[in-house]
Parts: sequence; structure tokens; C-alpha cells
Amino acid sequence: MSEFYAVILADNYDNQFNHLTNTLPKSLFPFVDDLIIEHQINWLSKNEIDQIIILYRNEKIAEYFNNRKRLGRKTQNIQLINILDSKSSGDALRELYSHGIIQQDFLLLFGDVITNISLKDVINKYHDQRKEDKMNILLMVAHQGTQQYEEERFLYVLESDDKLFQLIDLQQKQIKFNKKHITLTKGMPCKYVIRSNLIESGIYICNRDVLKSFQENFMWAEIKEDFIKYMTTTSDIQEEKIHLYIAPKIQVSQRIFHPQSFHNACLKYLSRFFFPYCPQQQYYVDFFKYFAGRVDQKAKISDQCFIGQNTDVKPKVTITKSIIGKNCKLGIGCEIINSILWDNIEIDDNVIIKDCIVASGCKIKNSIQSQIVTMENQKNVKQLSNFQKYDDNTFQSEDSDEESDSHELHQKKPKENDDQGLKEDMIDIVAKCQTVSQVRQAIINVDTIKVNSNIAFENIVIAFMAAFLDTIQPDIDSLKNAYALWEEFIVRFVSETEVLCYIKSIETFCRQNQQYHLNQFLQLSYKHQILSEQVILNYQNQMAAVEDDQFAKEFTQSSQQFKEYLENIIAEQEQQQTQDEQGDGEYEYEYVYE
Amino acid sequence: MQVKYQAIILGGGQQAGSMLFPLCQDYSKGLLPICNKPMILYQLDVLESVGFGPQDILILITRNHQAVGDLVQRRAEVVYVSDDSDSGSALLESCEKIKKDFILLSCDTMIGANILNLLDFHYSTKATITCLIKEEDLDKKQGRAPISCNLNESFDIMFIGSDHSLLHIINQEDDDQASLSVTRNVLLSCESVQIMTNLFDTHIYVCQYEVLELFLNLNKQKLEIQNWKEEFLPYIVKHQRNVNLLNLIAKKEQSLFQERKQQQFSIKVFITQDYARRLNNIKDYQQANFESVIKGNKGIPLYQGVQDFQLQYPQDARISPDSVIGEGTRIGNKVTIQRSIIGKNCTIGDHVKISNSIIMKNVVINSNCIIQHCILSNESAVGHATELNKCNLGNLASVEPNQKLVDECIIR
Repeated sequence: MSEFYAVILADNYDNQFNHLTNTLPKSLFPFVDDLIIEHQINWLSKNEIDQIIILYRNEKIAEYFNNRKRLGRKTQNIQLINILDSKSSGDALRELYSHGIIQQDFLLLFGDVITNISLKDVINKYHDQRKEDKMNILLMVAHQGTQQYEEERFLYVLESDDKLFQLIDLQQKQIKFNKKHITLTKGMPCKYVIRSNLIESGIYICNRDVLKSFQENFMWAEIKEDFIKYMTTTSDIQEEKIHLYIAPKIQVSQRIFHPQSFHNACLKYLSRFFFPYCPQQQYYVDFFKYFAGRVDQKAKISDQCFIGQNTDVKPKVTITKSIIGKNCKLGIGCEIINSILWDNIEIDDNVIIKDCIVASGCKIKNSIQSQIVTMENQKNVKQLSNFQKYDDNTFQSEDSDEESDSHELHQKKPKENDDQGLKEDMIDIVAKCQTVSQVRQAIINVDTIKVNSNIAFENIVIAFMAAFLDTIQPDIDSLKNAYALWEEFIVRFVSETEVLCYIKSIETFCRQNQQYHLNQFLQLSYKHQILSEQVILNYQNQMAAVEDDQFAKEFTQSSQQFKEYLENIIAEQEQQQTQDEQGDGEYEYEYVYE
Repeated sequence: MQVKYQAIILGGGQQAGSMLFPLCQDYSKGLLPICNKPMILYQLDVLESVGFGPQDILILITRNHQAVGDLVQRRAEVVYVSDDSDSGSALLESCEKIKKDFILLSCDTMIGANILNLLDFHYSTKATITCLIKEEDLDKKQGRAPISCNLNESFDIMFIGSDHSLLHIINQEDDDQASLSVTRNVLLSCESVQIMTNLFDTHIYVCQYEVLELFLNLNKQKLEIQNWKEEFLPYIVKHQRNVNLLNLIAKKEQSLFQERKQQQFSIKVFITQDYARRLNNIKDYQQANFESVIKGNKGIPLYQGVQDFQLQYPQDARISPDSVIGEGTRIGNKVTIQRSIIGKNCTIGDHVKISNSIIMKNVVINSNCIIQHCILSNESAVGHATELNKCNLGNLASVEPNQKLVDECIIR
């Protein structure tokens, strides 16, 4: 085992954790009670692998390891290799190859894997395969489970003895097996098994030849997309084979692709999925709660929570499925839901934090939701003010977009249910927008107003229509331009429940101003997919049934042609639908496992 | 008496025996003997041993197979269907007589498996259709494959999920494209899916009653599905997850305390290693006959006990122990019979050599003939000093004396 190196790719090349990874590489994220990289080193040393090579890009890792002192463990030989210029994991591997340290086999580990897979069997299997055939160069480790995330969803086509034949990603609806590659002869026992319940764990046992191939094919960037795909699709020319090790059911791993999987991994860790790697037993309370800090009796803590050391949890604090780091100060009456808080965080009283990741050292004064808060952007975080329990006075609605066109709107204090204010705002917005991008901006602004002041969609539509109809001229071109400009906006705010008030406002307007024709409005609305055929037909039938109304009669006459056109379309659609139903009406299938 | 199931045997339609030319020229396929016992009696015996009584078995045949009907009329109920019907439409015509879940067989499959296991499997997995599939296996100890169940070149590629469901089926002959394409949802529906090419469909299907209703509804929609195996089954397998298909099955009225009927449509396979062979071509027919005479350890249980009596024959006749000779057959002098099956009441002249042949009832073989690898149907006659090699004679056919024929088919 002394020759066996473990190579950790301690960086990620994507920006899922956008703000955080600008400053802190993913391997140095705190994961419940320790850093991710420490968890990995711990796991490797428990599996008797002492030689570790860490490929890093961010200087912080070098700093960390220089200052690292761990007591009471076997000393590991950790070498750091800088891969500063690399843009992908392929580059990192090429850099590794050029250093020439690896002579034989090595274990490749991605920097975001938390696992409890026992490596003894894996390495044995790898050595057995190597003895059989020198061409077995890669052993992928996979565990069994339900595929949850997009990144995990693949079909594994395996031949006998777990040789990987093909990895199919599930984007396409039809999956094609090339007949030249598959040998289908009559009477041969079963050769191919297609498994959909395997998840790749991010652990690979490779031979030096893998590095060589990366060196030869310098365009290769990723292990999965390029290397494995190449090996499996050209398997008739290539002789190198890739095998799969399927871990027994109690051994699992979790990769941290994005915030959801991060949170999920933390909860799994707390639920002792990765036994024997669990938080320290002395902190265990019950129901997977670990309290390393002081928790007041009147605080409500749900199951699957972790409270770090020196953290004081005051009374009336509610914590649901969250992880709180060291030295945090939570104010009275806080609610922390499904969030991950790192160390040294101060939270004011009565603040709600939901679905967030808050980095070390931040101070949170207002409720936030679904944000990643770091030291740098904590002032610019979009705040929410929608929670009924608390006084509106404690919140301020802050600007979320620096480049907003209408600054003056947002600096006013929100007026609750103040229609007049809304109308003025709307007129301002409508007046200022000349181009489609400004309209998009306006959508964001109106959204913010809506959320801040808790205004219903209907009011917005009414106010908007009033302002919109002010800006248009009686001729058809102006109408067309106006609709083309505001299409996105109208589609966004006029959904099925608001169509009636939308049509109503146009109708009132047309009644008042005889130059405008309701018919034209409806046709344009249909063309821009604001209204569906059925809705327009219903309205037209309704108008046709009205008596004693000159306007209604004129409208019915002028819209006769349009009505027939719509009826034709609906008839065609129904025909099409019955044809489809007889044919291939595939229906989205949900996973059903035993 | 089987309470839950009804057995339906497709006894032969217009085209039955088309690959068995010339044996079925004027003769019903169901009556062709294996080891001197008509095929259809094997089916009835198997069903009776499981508990199907005469009132539970239906045989569907067309008018031209009346002889079959007469043979079995005391053991099963015979239903005559119209002459040009295919397997599917035959079922439709007799649908009033079908009242329960049914097991559908064809008259030309020899099965050694235990049907009870199949029925239990169907019931316990609540399948809609269960297919009995034989897995051909390589005899690894001997290093050679046993002879497969059908000697055709074509075979089915089946995708079987981990819960024994049949997800996809493609016939190798039909598929000319270079790639085998399957929809993603099919592969996702089970944890693991195996692609198997060594499975042989025995044409025995256990179906729930709803399947008949489904078939009826599909016909109403004019989808032109006639043949059960070639059209209906692939159609169902392809659409088994299709909601619209499920809706075609009439929903039963739910009483207050009755369990809600599952609307799942599942097609399962029951894989067996026991003997199975389908006899729709000459090669398979011959093979089945030869398998039926194997005695001892390797003997197939289905065929044991068929030949039970001794026969008198002259002392200078050399008859190998794996030959079977029927009752009432007279054998002349200096006759050599090797590995052949000879039916009842035949007359075999002097100096005749018969090897590897199948000879049915009332056949006259005159002296000095050499007959190798042939099949001679009922009441045929072979003239003096004729050599027949790999020839097949139809019903009532006769061959002139002094001929030497190789690879011929002779009919009346």
C-alpha cells in the first residue's frame, strides 16, 4: 500500500456555489463539524491510504495546509501540487502527469465527495482485474440508490463481470444501441444489464495509463464526458476497459454539486448514513440532533440539526433541519429553516432565514430566503418582507438590482394596498420603457413592488392596463408595436385568473373610446399568446348573448370571422389530440422501485 | 376442475401447417403424431393433469380441421370459427364462451413445464399477461449447446426487468436497422433491465379477462390487429405504460367495500428451464420425434410412458432399441430399423432398411426399399426397391417402384 497514492482534485470548475467559491474553494467548505477535505483525509487514512496528493488552484488551500496541525493521528504524507493554470480537471491531470510522481496505480477523488465506502474490497477487485487483463485501466466506484439530481441521472449498461459498456445520459427520449457494438447472437446467455439505480461516487481507481491518455489527448477536459465516453464508445477499436465496482447497499456516497445537494449531504451525515463517519457521539441528543453548543430549553429544534460549539441558542428560537456552526449568535425569536450557517455569524432578533447558506463572519439583520450570503455581498442581499408574524416596521425593502431604471420607485416606503401609489408607479414604468430589455427590467421592478407591498395580480393588471392603454394610438400599427413591446410583461402578469379583468379593462376602454376596436385587441392578444382560443371564444359567446347593447352587437358582427377561425383551430386540435392518443401517447413515468 | 382459469387451445386455422408441407396437405396439424400420439392429445393431457376438466377447455378450430374436433370432443369443448380467421379474430368469435381468466395455448407446442407454477406466478404477481418463456442454456459442462427450441434463424430480443416484466420485444428478423432503439422510460421503469437473446417464447399466455375486452376495444377502433403473437403482443408490450390504453379497459363498478381495481398493466415472463419445443416446421417436428425416443436419464418426462407394449417381430430383423414400432405393424424378413418411429398397422416388406425416419399409420413399404431421413404420412405407399433420402410424403401419397429420390416432397 505504500506506493498507492490518493489524488484529490481539490477544486471545482463550475460555479454552482457562485459567490462562495470566488473566495473559498469547495474543499474548504465546512461540512457540519469539519472541513470537507478533512473528512476526506480522515476517510482515506481509515482506509490505510497515507500518501495523498492534493491538486489545488486556490491559494487558500496551500495556506490551510501550511498551518494545519492535527494531533493524535498518523502523519500523512500530503503533497500539494499547484494547478493554477488549469481550466478543467483534464488539465489538472495533465499537470499531475508532468510531475511524474505517480508510477503505478492511484485513487482519484473529487474534492466534493463525502463517503463511507470501504476501499479494501475496491482495491482488491481492481488488482484482480489488472491481473486478468492489463487493459483494465479504470475502476469506477458506484453505489446503489435512487438517482436524485440531474448530474446523477445516467443509465449504466454493463456487460458480464461489471464491465462498463455504455453510459447513457437521460436527456434523449429514445436510446439507441448500436448493433455493431452489441453482439446479439441467438442462444447466448444474457450479456447486457441496464441499471438505473446506480450513482457514481466520484471515486476512481486508475492506472498510470489513464494519465497518459489524458496527456495524449490534450483536448480532454472532463473525466466523465470525455474519457469515459471515449473509452466506451470506441470499445471495438480500443482495448482498454472500464469496470464498475458496485458498493454494497450500506455504503454510500454523496457528491456536493450545488446547494441542494450540499444541504442533503449534511442531513444524511447527521442521520448517520455515512456510518462510521458521524458527528461526535458526545454531542448526540436524540433524533439525529447534535448539540455542541448551549441550547436553551425553550428553543424548538427539529430533528436532523447540528449546533456547533460555543453557539448560544436563545429561547424562542426555532431551528428546522439546519446546520449551525461555531460561535454563532442567534437573536431571540429567530427562525432558521433548511439552512446552513457557518461560523461566527450574528443574527439579529426575529429574523427568518430560509433555504440559505450563510458564510462565516456575516451579520444578518433581515429575513432572507434562498440566498447565499458571504461577507462581500451581505449588504446587497435581496430581503423579503412577507412574513405575517412580524411587524412590517422592522423590514426595509432594499434595492436588489443596481442598474434599475426607476430608482425613485424603490426608495419610497412601501404603501400597503395603496392603489393610487401603484397607479402612479405603473404610469412611470410604462412611460419609461422603450425597448424590450427595459421592459424586462420593468418586469423585475413590478415583481419587487408586488412582493414588497403584497399586491394581488389583479390590481397590477388593472393598473398596468390603465397605463398601457394611455400610451397607444388608435391606428393598428401603434397597437401592434405596443403589443410586441409589452408582450413579455403581459404574459408574465396575465395568467388564467386574470384574463377576465384584462379583457374587462380593454372592453371598458373601448366603450369609452370609439376609435378602438375590441376585436383588434383580442386578435393581437391571441397572436402574442396572451389569451387562449377557448377564453376568447367564451368571451365572444358571452358578448353575443348580451341584449340591448349596441357595442356588444357591433363587436359580435366584426369579430365573426375571427370567431370562425378560432373554432377551426380548436376542431383541428381536438382531432390531433385523438390521433395522438391512439398513437404514442407516452406518459411521463415516475420511478417505481421495490 | 379449475375454478379460476379456462384453457383455450388454438387448434389450427386455415394456414396451420403451412411450414409443414406436405404433411399437412390434407391432414390437420393437431393430429400429427409425436411418437405415435397426436400432438393435441399431449396438450390435453398436460391440461388435465393440472386439473382442467372438459368443461374448462375450449378448442378453436376451423371447419377443415373437423377430424381434430372429432378426436377430442369428449375431452374438451370444440368451437368452430370461421374459415379465414386468424388467432385473434378466432378469439373474438368465441368470446361469449370465455368467461374467466384464460390460458392460451397453441396446439403445436410441447411443454414439459409445470403449468401450476405458471398459474401461481401469474396470480401472485397480479400480472395482466404472463408469458411462459423457456431459457435456452449453454450446457457448460459438456461445452456444447443443446439443440434449441426452434431451429429457425429468427429469434426474439427481449428486455426483461428485474421484477420479471417484459419491457420490450423485438424480433431479430424484422429489425433491419443498424441500431436497436428503446425509449428511455422503458429502461427507467425497473431497477435493472437485462437484454436477453436466449429466450424462446412458447406461445403459452395466461391472461386476465380484461385482455379480451381490450382486444375487443382495439378492434372496434379498427386497428387491424389480428394475429395474437405477431401483432397484439408487441402492441401491448409497447404501450403498456400508455394511459390511454388503460382507459380502454372497462372500469368495473366499485362497490363500497371492494378493493379498488388496480389499473396497472403488467406483462410478466415466467422463465423456465424445462423442456419446450414448438413444432411448426419440419426440422422441429423431426427433432421432437427423436427426443421422444430418448430413454433413461436424458429422457424427457413428457414422453415417458407413451410406448408401452411389446411387439412380435421376426428374429432376423435388426431393430435398434431407440426405435418405436406401433401396434399391428407387420415386419418382413431382414429388416433393419434404426432410430425410427413407425406407426400402427403398417406393412413393411422384406429387406427394407429404415433409418432416422418417421412413419405414420397404415403405411405400406414394399420390399428392398431404403428409407433414410424421411417422413411418411398416413396411408402412403412406397413401391419396390425405391430409395428415399430426405423425402417427405403427404397423406395418401405413393411412390413408384424403382425410384431414387432425394429431397423431394410428394403428395397424392
